[in-house]
Amino acid sequence: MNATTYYASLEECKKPLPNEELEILAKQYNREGDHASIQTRFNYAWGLIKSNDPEHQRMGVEILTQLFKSAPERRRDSLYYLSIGCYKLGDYTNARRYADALLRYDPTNPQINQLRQEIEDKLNKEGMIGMAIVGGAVAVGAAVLGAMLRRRR
Amino acid sequence: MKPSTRINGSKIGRHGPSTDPTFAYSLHLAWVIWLRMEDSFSSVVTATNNNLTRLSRTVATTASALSSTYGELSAPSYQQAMQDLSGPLFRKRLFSFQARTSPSEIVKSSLTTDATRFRLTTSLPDNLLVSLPAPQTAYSLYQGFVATQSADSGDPNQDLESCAIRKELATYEIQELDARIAELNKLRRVVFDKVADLEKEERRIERRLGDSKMIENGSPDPEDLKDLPRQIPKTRRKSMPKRAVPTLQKFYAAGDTITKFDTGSDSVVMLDFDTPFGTLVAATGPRLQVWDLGSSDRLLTLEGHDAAVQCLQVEGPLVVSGANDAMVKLWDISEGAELQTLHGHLDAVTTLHFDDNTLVTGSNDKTIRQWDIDSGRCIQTLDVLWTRPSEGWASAGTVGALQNFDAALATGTADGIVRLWDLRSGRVQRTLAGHMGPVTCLQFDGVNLVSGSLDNSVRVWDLRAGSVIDVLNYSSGITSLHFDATRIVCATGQPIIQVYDRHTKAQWTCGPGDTEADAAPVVAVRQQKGYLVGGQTSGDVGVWAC
Repeated sequence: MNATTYYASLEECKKPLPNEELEILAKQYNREGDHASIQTRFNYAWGLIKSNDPEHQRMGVEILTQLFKSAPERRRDSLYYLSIGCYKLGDYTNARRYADALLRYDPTNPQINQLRQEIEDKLNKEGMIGMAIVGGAVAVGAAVLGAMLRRRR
Repeated sequence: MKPSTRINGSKIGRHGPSTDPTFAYSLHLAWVIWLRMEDSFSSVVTATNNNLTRLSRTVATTASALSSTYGELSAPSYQQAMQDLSGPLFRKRLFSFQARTSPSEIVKSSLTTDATRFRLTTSLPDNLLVSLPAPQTAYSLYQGFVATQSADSGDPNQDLESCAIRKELATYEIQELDARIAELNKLRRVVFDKVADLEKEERRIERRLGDSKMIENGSPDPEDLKDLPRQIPKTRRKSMPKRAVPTLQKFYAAGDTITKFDTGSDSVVMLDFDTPFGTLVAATGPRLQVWDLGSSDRLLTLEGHDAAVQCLQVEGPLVVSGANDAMVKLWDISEGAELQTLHGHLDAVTTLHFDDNTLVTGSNDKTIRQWDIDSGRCIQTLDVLWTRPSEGWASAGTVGALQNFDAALATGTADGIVRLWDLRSGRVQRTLAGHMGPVTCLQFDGVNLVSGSLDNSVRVWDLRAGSVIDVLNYSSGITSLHFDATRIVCATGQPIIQVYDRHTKAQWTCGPGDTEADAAPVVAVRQQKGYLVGGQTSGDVGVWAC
């Protein structure tokens, strides 16, 4: 018997659900309407977050945000997946903020730490690219300036 | 160089404001060269010249059209730009820009405003992130999801495990719903109190309105009233049309105690009230007590009877009471004054009822008397000498209950028979036999007559057919009942009040016995629109929602 871990791993979150399964979750979510249970809301949001479609991911994040606000005792759950949702959407700042908030309460959780590491890696990579872009822009600017100055002389 | 070409060239330069002067110059040169080459073909020159002027004209108009459309466009696009700058969206964009660190994010969000809006609505503020209470279950929502998905895997162990997880999560959800219900109830309480306060305010304003009306009308000069018996002005009889309708009792759960107070007497034998949360008059021994049901304050005590009051009726400020001293008295509770005493009966007055200005009283002297309230005169006396209490009920009053409406009169007597009279002829029109013991209470509307007897039963009669529709049996004798279209309430000498829903035929109870262990029996009940008042032998008066 292999017990499932408390949180889903990041790899798990990158595997999209088959469309028909997501459809089932959406149907249940819509049927229960305003009084949808926490589990139902979570299930649908989870299915959306797993998707590769940014539109789905965004909807998932929206549902999770509502879940976070309306169910305080489930905040840790929703925050973890919010962090993943933000990560997948490329909103690394919020993803890192949420992961950090979770780590304050649960510093040793391997899944949160793994998530945090991934976000950090992504941020560093982005930072490098950013630096490269800025550096390139500076170099081009300097060259143009130099050329102009030379011509003026 | 020919003058015509010079003109053409300068024309282009003048009409193309956006064109670079150097470009215009080079164009001019090109034409000049081309025209020089053409000089040799002098025969075609004039024709080409015509063509050229046409061409230059079109170029000029196109350029001016372009510049003018640009000028027209510039106004709205400029405004748009300014709006963007001053609007909240721009500011938000500016702020979110400050918080951003990753270049790809900057690129993404500056490309679409939707993304910005999304970020703003979903981004959680830091203060929310600080409090992350530990969940009260060992299982996460993800595990719950996996458990739902992996149901019926074929492996019994795993199925059992997933069942356990789903069960725990569902249990937890119930707790959560309970918490939400409690929260909603709290909210309901607040709104309920608001309604209660508003109704209190309504009563206060209405009372003030009543006071000011009385001042306007002026009270009659006491000198005029010296010799005459005090007259009852007709307007007083019917209560002033109330504009505010108390509805608060509806929002109580059925059976809830609305209020409770102690009259400080030995027993409340009889009571009546005008409207829910209005004025209550209770018979407590020889005295009548007037209470404000809304505030549970005693307003007045009316003294005048020499013996215990047995029956009373309230209609606006007018109260009529009958007592063991054989007297019937009329009171004005708005002034706390005794208006009149009706003498005539020779024994205890056990029941009375008035409709408009006709008052009918029943007494142990085996007579029923009809009075004119305005003059205070006895118009008619009906003998009920033949009514003998049925075996074993010696203690009951001869006339247990009566009610009149226009010329119709219904009486319930100690022989267990309900009689319908015509007051014009003074004859019995119909008898309704069925009760095995003395009738103690009755009431009728346009369709039904409901009577209660010491034989432990309540009978619902059809007035037109004269037959019994319904019989309700209880464990003890009925002492008091009251009904409307919705329900019949009756006191059976127990600490609880029996309520019968006429639509659903459901029977249930409410009263002091539900909450107190050794509550005193309720002997008198009145109800109106789900507002039920009961008088107990301990002297307590309780108000319940039903």
